[in-house]
Amino acid sequence: MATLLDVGSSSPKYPDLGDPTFKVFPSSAAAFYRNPVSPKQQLNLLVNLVQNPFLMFRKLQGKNLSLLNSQISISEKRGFSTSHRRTMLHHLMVGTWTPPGAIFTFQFDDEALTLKMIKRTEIPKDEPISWMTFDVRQDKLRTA
Amino acid sequence: MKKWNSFSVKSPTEIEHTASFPMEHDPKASQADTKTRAIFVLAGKKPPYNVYGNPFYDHAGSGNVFSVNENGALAKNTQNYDYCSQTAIHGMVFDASETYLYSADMWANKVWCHKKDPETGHMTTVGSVDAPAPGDHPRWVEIAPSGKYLYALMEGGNRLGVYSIDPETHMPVYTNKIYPLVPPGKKSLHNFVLNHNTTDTFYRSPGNLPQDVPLRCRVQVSKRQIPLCNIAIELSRSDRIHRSVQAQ
Repeated sequence: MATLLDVGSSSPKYPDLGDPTFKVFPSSAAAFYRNPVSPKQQLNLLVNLVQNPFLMFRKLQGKNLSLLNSQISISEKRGFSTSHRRTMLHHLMVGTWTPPGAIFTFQFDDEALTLKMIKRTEIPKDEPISWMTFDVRQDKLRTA
Repeated sequence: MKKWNSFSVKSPTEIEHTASFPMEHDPKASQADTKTRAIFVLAGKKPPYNVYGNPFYDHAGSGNVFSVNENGALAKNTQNYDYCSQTAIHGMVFDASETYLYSADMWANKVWCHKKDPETGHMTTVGSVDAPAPGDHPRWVEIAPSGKYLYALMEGGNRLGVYSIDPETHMPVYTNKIYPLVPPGKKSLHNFVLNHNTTDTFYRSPGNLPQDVPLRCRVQVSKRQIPLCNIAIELSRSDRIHRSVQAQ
């Protein structure tokens, strides 16, 4: 746990990144572990409900972060932390294997246990996605 | 499909395409009439934050390395590092220091080790080892947090191979430990799940896997259209899953 939090608090940056207002995100591993949904539940959710292996979890918001055993100050939480709800909303990006290329965003509410598709993002039609992953700051997708 | 892409994610519903690059290691790879497909991508977590892509199927004998610009978008194909002409890599993993890269090569039936230059992020081949049997076809690799062991999921062999990491060369060394994913007498994972008429996800620990090996495999099968076998290696640290990888 400590190691993972260290990863999250190391403020990873790109070289020459000059914008001081840009939020620095913890690593995906740190976000994953702070998540109150058990990893098993998360993985079941991904596999059973979405039926697509090309996906990523993102924590969107959650005031209750401060209740967890976190050593990262609240100012370093996700830039998307705009709500004071105790519920956590998790976001999942899913790519399409065949044309037309698209990225679907799913939102999972871990109190209501609901999963909604909230966005279909068009991408180049002939560039469907075999695999996707987030960068270290979790605000860029890299896809194949 | 035949491109490497990057997207900026300003919020879960604001995803913006920032770059697309073709596979340029082989002129045939990017042609519309060839089978080559961009299959897997691994993002460096340490400077220079390169992105490492694996072509698959035919003309897939190189890994494609991309630099990123100040905005985090893919910037340039800076290196195409070598595997071999038969190669089709389907999954890769870095060691904890992000110095050594391990690749599961299905079609050349090998596990590879490459070393990353800390300045450029470029790869140099350290070596490769053949899978234990000709039809094993390593599809995924996962490394223990200690860096001492590497696990390779053999899609063809339906089993999980354990490799130790040589502390000096960092090459994977097969330990002669390999664990079946199907019950004795069954030929393959696909046959096993189809015979059991399951459409659910279930967890299966590889047969005879010692308790101290924190691994299990998750299998998901759907028979709605075509049989889909979704296999994952999950490596747990105490009660937490450290990492998961999936295969379709």
